[in-house]
Amino acid sequence: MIPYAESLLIFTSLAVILASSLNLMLGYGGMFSAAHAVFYGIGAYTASLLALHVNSSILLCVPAAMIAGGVAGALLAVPALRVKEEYFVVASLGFQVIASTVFNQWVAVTGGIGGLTGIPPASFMSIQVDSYGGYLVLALLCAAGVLIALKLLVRSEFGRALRALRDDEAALQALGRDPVRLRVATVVIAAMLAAIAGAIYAYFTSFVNPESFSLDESILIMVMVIIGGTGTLTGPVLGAVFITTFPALLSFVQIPSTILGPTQRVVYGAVITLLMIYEPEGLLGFLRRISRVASFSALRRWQPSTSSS
Amino acid sequence: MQLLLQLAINGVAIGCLYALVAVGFAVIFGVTRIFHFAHGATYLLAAYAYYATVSIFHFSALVGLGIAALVAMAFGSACERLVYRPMLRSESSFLTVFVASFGLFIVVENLIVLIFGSGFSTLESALSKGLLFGPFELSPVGIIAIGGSAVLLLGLELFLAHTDAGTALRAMADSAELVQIIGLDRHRCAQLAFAAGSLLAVPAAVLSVHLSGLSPQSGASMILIAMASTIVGGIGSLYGAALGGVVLGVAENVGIWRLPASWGDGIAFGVLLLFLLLRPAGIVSALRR
Repeated sequence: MIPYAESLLIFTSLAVILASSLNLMLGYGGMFSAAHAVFYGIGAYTASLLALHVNSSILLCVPAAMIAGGVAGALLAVPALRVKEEYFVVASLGFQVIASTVFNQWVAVTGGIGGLTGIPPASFMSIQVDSYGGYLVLALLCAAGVLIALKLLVRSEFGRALRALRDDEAALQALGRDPVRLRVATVVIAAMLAAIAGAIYAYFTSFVNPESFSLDESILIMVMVIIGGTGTLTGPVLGAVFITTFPALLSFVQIPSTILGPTQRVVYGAVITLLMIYEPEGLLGFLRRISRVASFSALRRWQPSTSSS
Repeated sequence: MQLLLQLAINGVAIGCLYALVAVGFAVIFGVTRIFHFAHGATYLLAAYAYYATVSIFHFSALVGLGIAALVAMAFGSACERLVYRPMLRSESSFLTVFVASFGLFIVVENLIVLIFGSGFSTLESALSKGLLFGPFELSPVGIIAIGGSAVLLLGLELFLAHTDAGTALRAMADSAELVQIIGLDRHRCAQLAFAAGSLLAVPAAVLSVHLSGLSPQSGASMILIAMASTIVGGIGSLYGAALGGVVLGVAENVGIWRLPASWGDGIAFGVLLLFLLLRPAGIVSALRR
């Protein structure tokens, strides 16, 4: 039971990294991408290849994964610069399909559908991370690091310019900022952060294959951000926790696994659609509304008068 | 060389099916500005409705076609009435509408997995067998796909150009506000666009059941290709969408000439990204230049 809870927490931390980094593009930059699993995958493959053939040190694999992810991010950003939001969604979908094809077909490097196996555990200086607990610490540290980095970034001059870009591109240009550079930088940063999650994933499972980085995964990451609430730091964390723990809750119910997957997805789909119709700000908006109601509720105001009695 | 031409012919036949779905998507997008991702679900519902009537309940293909058309139109207009209309009333952004549409698609796709299983099904018929034309082979389904989509697109052209309803749709594509000012019902126009757009997906769905079989995953790849086609063709242009569909169909099939068949999707979207890079306004604007 404890290893199960630990691995669930590790996957939740990875989901937090993925959703929060996508939120930088989606929520702050207004760039709607359905290709985030590509960067997750490139991070995972880069780290696996280095760990298998060179050295499994975190100090080597994680930075290398980030660089590879960043390069892929720049590739996605190029078509994105020329097109508006509807087009960017489709461009990102196209990017995801092409990347999945490459993951599946470039057998010499990615191992094809069979993937890469036997990836050695992570090492840091002379410490080997080989227990669930060790990976949990590593994943939590990375998630915390990513969240802190994002928080600093969003509050910085860069973050303000990014929000200005989302809300009024012309005004930003009038202020002398270059929207093109801003967009490329955003996608590259988001991709680098997602690649960190990929590296940890590769170490932890010691096995990567294209299935983990498919369009479905990209959609799931997107759903986390949207269900949680875009454009805030808390929203995607909330969404990531909800989406990763929700199937775990369902798995306590005795349903055969062939039905479980589709049933979960029907529920996700319905939740997304209903949220968008009734609560476009996501779970966070919902919680805010509840707390607003609660703070005005009779329960809160109910103060038994002690003076009269 | 002969192989290459044969692949191109297959590509045109499949590309015509892409074109129908893409034009349906483009009609809906042009008139309502809704990025109707769930159009892929319309396609799936039509395909499985046809498959169920013909293969499970043993009705004739014509009955199957009728039922598929009813299901597709009902779903399309239900999307407009129950999902998009309440959202647009509150001035939702493009993204929220797109995501809602996405959610809808996921629900339908997985309901179909729950009912029919996630496997691949085929429907054998005499129409799927290849006929020889000189050195080339083309199945009757392929011929129907090419001829039928030409007829349907011509019909759509006549409808848009020469009927009052068609004129209203064109007016709405130009400016939804003006349409309201002159007293046309905006919602009715939207309903009409969704019905017409969804209807166009039906022949594509039915023919592709015969041409290449069906699986729940085909909905996602179809809507992705359709969206790519509208962009390759140039958003806002129906001819562009049709042309884009054919181009992607041909590219996908000709690509198999030198690469393994599993690269098909990758090639189609490679063409899309190339267009986005070099000709973001699409084929139609490139031809005008």
